[in-house]
This record gives sequence, C-alpha cells and structure tokens, in this order.
Amino acid sequence: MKLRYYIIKRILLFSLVLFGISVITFFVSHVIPGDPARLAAGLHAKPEQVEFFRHKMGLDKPIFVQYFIYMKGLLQGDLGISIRTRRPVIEDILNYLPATLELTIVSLILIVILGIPLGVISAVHKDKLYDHVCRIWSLFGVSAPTFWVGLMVLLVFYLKLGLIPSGGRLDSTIQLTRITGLYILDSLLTFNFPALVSSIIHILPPACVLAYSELAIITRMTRATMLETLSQDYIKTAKAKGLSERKVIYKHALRNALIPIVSVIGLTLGYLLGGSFLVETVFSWPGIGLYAARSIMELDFNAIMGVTIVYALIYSLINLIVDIIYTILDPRIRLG
Amino acid sequence: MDTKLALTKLQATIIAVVIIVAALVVIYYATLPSHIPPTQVEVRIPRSDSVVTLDPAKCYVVPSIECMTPVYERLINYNDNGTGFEPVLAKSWEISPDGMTVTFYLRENVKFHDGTPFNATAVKFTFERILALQGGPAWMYSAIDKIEVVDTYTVKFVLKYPDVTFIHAMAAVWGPLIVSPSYVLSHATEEDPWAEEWMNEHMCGTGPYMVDEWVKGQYITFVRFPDYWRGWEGKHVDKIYMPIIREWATRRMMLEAGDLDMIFPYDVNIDDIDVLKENPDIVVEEHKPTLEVVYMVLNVQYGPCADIRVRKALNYLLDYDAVIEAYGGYAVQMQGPLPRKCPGHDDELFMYHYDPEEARRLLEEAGYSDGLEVTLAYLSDVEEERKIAEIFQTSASAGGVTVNLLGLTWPALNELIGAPPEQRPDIALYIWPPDYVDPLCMLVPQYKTGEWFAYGYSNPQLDNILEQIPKTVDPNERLELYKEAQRIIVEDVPRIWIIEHEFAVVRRSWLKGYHYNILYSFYNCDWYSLYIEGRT
Repeated sequence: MKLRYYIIKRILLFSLVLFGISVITFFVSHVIPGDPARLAAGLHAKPEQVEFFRHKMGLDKPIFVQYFIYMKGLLQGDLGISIRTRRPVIEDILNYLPATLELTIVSLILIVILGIPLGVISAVHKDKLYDHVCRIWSLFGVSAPTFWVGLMVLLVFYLKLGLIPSGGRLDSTIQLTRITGLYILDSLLTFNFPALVSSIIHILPPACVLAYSELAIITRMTRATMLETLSQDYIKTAKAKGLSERKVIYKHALRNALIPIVSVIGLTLGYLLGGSFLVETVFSWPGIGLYAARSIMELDFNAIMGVTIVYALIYSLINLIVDIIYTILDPRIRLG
Repeated sequence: MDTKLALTKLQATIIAVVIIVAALVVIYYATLPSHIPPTQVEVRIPRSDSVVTLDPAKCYVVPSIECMTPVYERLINYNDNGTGFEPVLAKSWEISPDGMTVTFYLRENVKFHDGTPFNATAVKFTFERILALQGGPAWMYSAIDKIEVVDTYTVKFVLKYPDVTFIHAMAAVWGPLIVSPSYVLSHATEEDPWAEEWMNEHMCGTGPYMVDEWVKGQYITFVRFPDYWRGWEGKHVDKIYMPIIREWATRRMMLEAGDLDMIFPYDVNIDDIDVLKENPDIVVEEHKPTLEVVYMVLNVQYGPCADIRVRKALNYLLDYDAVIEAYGGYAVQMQGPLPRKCPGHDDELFMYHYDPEEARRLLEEAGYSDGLEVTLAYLSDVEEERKIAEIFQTSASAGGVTVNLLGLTWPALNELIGAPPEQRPDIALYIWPPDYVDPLCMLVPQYKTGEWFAYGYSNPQLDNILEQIPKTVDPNERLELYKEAQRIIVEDVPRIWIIEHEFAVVRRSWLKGYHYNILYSFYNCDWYSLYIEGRT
C-alpha cells in the first residue's frame, strides 16, 4: 500500500477513535458525582445563583442534547468554554500545550542522543567499567523519583551554585514574539538571540530531569537489544567479510536493534507528555499537565474533553510516525 | 581499533555538547540584564497558580484576587484587625436608622486607568453588573433593591429589607471592586452587554498599579498608574512582578536566594518556618490570626448523628491538640461557631476536649455500647483535611467509634452535601474562609434553615434571631443577639468545631511597609504601602 493511502486510512481510523473517546469521556465525566454549576457559581452561592449558572452553561439540558451540542461545536473547532478559567478551552490548550510539547521534545532529543549511544557503549563493552557505570546510572534513573531529582537539581545548581534559573520558560526582562508557542523555535524565527539563549537555559534543567528516568530505560533497552543483535550470525558474517567494527555496530547491528527501541521511544513520548506534570510543578513550567489535573479535580467538563481529545490526537500521530519509521528502518515491513 | 575511534568521536560529541551548554550558561549570565539589579524598584511576590478570571464581578478564588488588588479599589476597607472601616474611594458613609439605605460620599478627583473620572455612576454600574452576572460574590449583594445616584459624588444603596450589616459586604475580600463603566461598555457587544469575555482578561480600576505584561501561566507585572489619586510622594515600588511558582520548595529556595521578596501567607509551608527563622535576611511574623475556620458538619437529619448524644460524643472524640500539632502549632481550637476575632464572639462558650471515656458514656446512653460506625467525607487533595481525617479516625477509635474515611474531590463532596439526608455522609469536613468580618456571613450560610451549607440543621429560634440581627441598629444589642445565636448553636451541637487557622508572614528584611490585615492578607498586600530598602 502506498504511504499516502496508508496515511489516509489511518486518519479515517483516527476519526473513529476520536469519536469513541469523545463518547466515553463525555459520558463518564458527566455521570461521576459533582455539580459544576455550583462550582462556577462559587462556594457560598445561593440556590438561584447555581440555577442561573446551570442554565447558562446548558447543564439543565438532557445529557444527550448536551453531547450533541458539544459535538456540533467540536466539528467547528470549538471545544467550549472552560468552567474553571471561563476562557475558550482551545485558547487554554494553545496557551499551555506548546510549553509541554517543547519540554517533551527537548527531553526526547536528550533521551535519543544520549540513551542510544550509552546503550551501544554498554553492549559493546559488556561487563566492563563503561557497562557497570551505565547500569548503575540506569538503576538510579529508574529508582529516583523525578520530583526529588528536580528539587535536588534546583537546590544544588540554582540555590548553592547559582548556575541555572529557578524555573519558568524565559527571563521576564526578555521580550519574545509568540508565533508557535515553542520558545526556542519562536526565537529562531524572530532572530532573537537573547531569547534563544534564555529559553535554552530555562528548558535544559527541567528537560534533563524529565529525560533522566526515561533515559535509563532507553539505555537498558538499547543495551539488551544490541547484545541480542550482536550475537546474530549475520553480524559474525559481516565481521568475517572484513567490515570495520564501527560499520558492523552502527550500520548492521544498531539499525536492526533500533526497531523495538523506536516503539519504546514512541511510548516514551506519550509518557513524557502525560508525566511531565511533576517536573512542570517543580520548575514552574507553564505546561498543560497542571491544567489537565486541575480540570479533572474540579470537574471542568469542557477542559477534560478538550485535553483528552488533544492527547488522543497526539498519541495517534505518534503511532503513525512510529509505523512509518519502521518501514524506513526495515524495508521488509509493509504498511497495510 | 575502529571501535575505539568511534567511541572517541562519541565522547567528543558529548564533550562538545557539554561545552556548548557551558558556553550558553556563561553567555546567559554575562549578557542578560535579568541578573543586574533592576533600575526600577520591583517587588517580587509569587503566586501558586494561573489566573482564573480578572473580572471583579466573578472572581471568587485564589489565586486571582491578588492580581486584581493592585488595580482595583473598594469604597471602604477593613482596618488591619477587622474592627472597623477605613475610607478608600468613599470619604464617608451613612447607614439610615432603619437599616434600609446606605449612602456613600465619594472622593473627588479620582481617575480610572482609562482616564475617565470615578463617580457615583461608576459605583452604581459596578454593583448592577455584579448582580446581573450572578458570579461568586453576587450573593453578598442580594439585599440590594436599587442603587440611586444622588449626585455626582453621592450614591445611595436602597435595600429590599433592613440590613445594618450590609456595609460589611462593601469591604468584602472579593466583589466590591469598582470598575470603569466606560471601559467595560467600550468592549460590550449585543451578545455580551457586560463585556464578560473582555473583562475576564482585562482590568481598569482606580488602583495604584496597572497591568504591564501578562504572560499567561507564567507571570504578571504591574507598573505605577501615574495619575493615582494618592500621588507618588514617599516610598513606593515602581513595579510588581508576580511569577507563578507552584511548588513550595521552589518558592522557598527563591526567597532564600533573594529572588523573591515575600510569599503570601496562604502559600507558606509552616513546616519550614523554623529553618527560615534562622536566616537573618528573612523576617518571619508568626501566628497571625485569621478568620478561617475548620469544622466538621454532622448529618443531624439521618443516621447516628441525628441523636444529640452521638454528636456530643463525637465532639469528645477528636484529639484537638493533635490537629493543632498537625498544623505546626499554627491553629487554635475553635470556641463555638465563630472565630475569636469575629465581633460578637462569645468567649464563655463551652469547649469540648478529647475525652474518650465521656464519649463512651454518651454513646452507651444513645444505645451504641457495642460501638459505632460513621463515614467522614473530606477533600482528598487538601493535605490538611487528610491529616485531620486521619487524626479523627485514630482518636475516635479510642471511644469505640469506627470512622470510615471517604476522600472526595470538591465537586463530589458538594454533590453529597446537596443530596437527600439519607444519602449524605454522617460527617463532612470543611474549611470555611469568610468573605467579610461580620458574623452573619458565617452564621447565615452555615446555620440558617434551608441554607446549602446548613447540612439540614434547623432551629426556628435561631432563624428568628438571624432575621432580627440585620434589623437591629444598636450595635450592643446586635452583639447580644450574636451571643444568643452562638449559645443556641452550641447547645444543638450540629458541628465539631475544630480550629481557627493562623498564618505566618515570610518576607525578606528589605521589604518594608508591609502590614498584615486579618481579612485581606491571606493572599494579598497593601501594594501602595510597600517599598524596598537595602536590597543589594
């Protein structure tokens, strides 16, 4: 099947998935106990105030009618108004999501450029010093809670050494024209060098902390798959044919070992997106994690729906990209 | 060997990355203006979450209100200990002897940030807008029948029924913040006549500071309003910088590093007070009283708590000292339904203490000699509530009572409170921050028949008193009625009154002019009085 047909097919499938997600999220969020009208009206509101809001928010209509109205809006790109922030959900998401996306992408880059080479080094130097160091590092990575690591990084590098900023995305004295919401990209697009430096400096500490535990997983995974691949007959054949060690490792072994790693990286991206909440909290990173958590706690229907749909879209997109990368890594794999 | 060469290249790449990062750090610190002391004097106080709304007619939460007080002002404010009022935009005021009208005589030559003059029309417009939008603060103004503009600088509030306590609502934490009518109307549309959408994110008041920059989810800055009516003589800050710092540990580190000047009392983690006190550059003001109370509501209509003996027994089964300890000592046990700093508080009311034996005796009398099982609902995401619930679970077991804990989210807890009596939990834990100082703002919503937070409690005698209070012009007579109301409530035992919360103020010693206000300071400052002295 040609790639473009495959992509069209997947997009059609996305629509079905999104429809299913919208139905489940909408009805589940509406049947769990709680009265958003009272929350919107305020803690000490009188019953007539609560009813005023119930009517204003359309919560006095039957649930199926509410769903129909929501879907009608959704098809026109309208995710509704957040009960909590009183702003259009789409605006809130566009405000918070880029920060999380940028943090996630930088973390993923760190994971890939550090995790895969470290795994390869470990495998090539199995049971040597390099390997032991990598393994201890990995073990610490999977065992140390991100929250704690974040605080320790701040304590040492911010408070004691004064090397990094305490948090945030950009120094408040720097102006940056917002285009995409991804500050590094925006500063490149506007040739704003101080903003570029400041945004890199600000993103590196939380990105490193976020990458830290996942880095350990990717390193261990790469090591394991590389060890398995290196013991294959075709590797011995390649070596026997006189190919250089480097070529054998990076062209023959690593390429094959990468297939399972790519799927783990896909999952990692999903995890980073959803799991960045704690790091965002420690480093005052204005991401969507806290927005999502607050929306759930306060039963902000529209925000819950909006965030769920956006996350579902991102996950679906990641899966599609992972599938396409498979075909590039292994030409035997056919899309269909 | 090739392998070695490959690894060396890898190492070289890593080293190169490290060098680039180090270079960036050096460039950052060498070139950026952020670490040069600001030429303008800036006060930096963090907030813990994003703004919900900037509309005074709707704002009923923290964080949000702290972003509005540099910009907006009230007609009157409470003095620092909450015992009286201070003029702000009103020079003086007058309550009619029958309690049916309140007249404010307004200050002249006051301008809104859009340059338009402040006058009686603006006051009328502000409160009509609050009532039309029915947001969180609207309940406090439901007594208003009409607002009359007597002349340019005199405005009269005519009430539907006599209410001499109405004046308190004019100094409430949220709500009575005067907006510029011309600013609002210039952004109104046919579908949005009160410019709700615009006012959600924009402000225009008469206050000392104006919004300079708002980066949503990150920070908000304010600069001086040059035409402020009090003028800029004396010491004041030029700029206010309020970043969102969600995590307490981060806030604390920033304060210690000198990157913050103060932390709002509501955001202070009491566990760290002792450590902060040791820092000579940090001033800690301890045990500041508040009007915030924590109590448990008992389901007086259904189940074991319908029996007054059980309610009394449960009051004897809470280890109050353990709760105070859980608050790091920043709490005092409540004495009846009102906090001690509330006018009219009766300091002779009976106070329960932890006494499992007495509780057992009462439970036996009530027919629960084989033990009792009750459910306690609390907010699972509020750390203090979780601690109190667990303390009660432990201490009540000594009296043979099994407490089943039901941790809920705020919407779910509210749903249960509004449910029919047989579906409500036996006990629900509540933290009540008052909107203003007068006891009626606590007694009516919590104890009057039919009110949402009364939780089914009803006493016609008390209802009569609560209806009589607003009509009673003589303050001494009113204080007696408050005491009578408290005595009735305490006799009925519809609650377990737990603690009155106390705060700590934590700030750098170079921040001067700060003064603590019993009602407003939990998440606020008198911004105009602040100044910086001795910051390096």
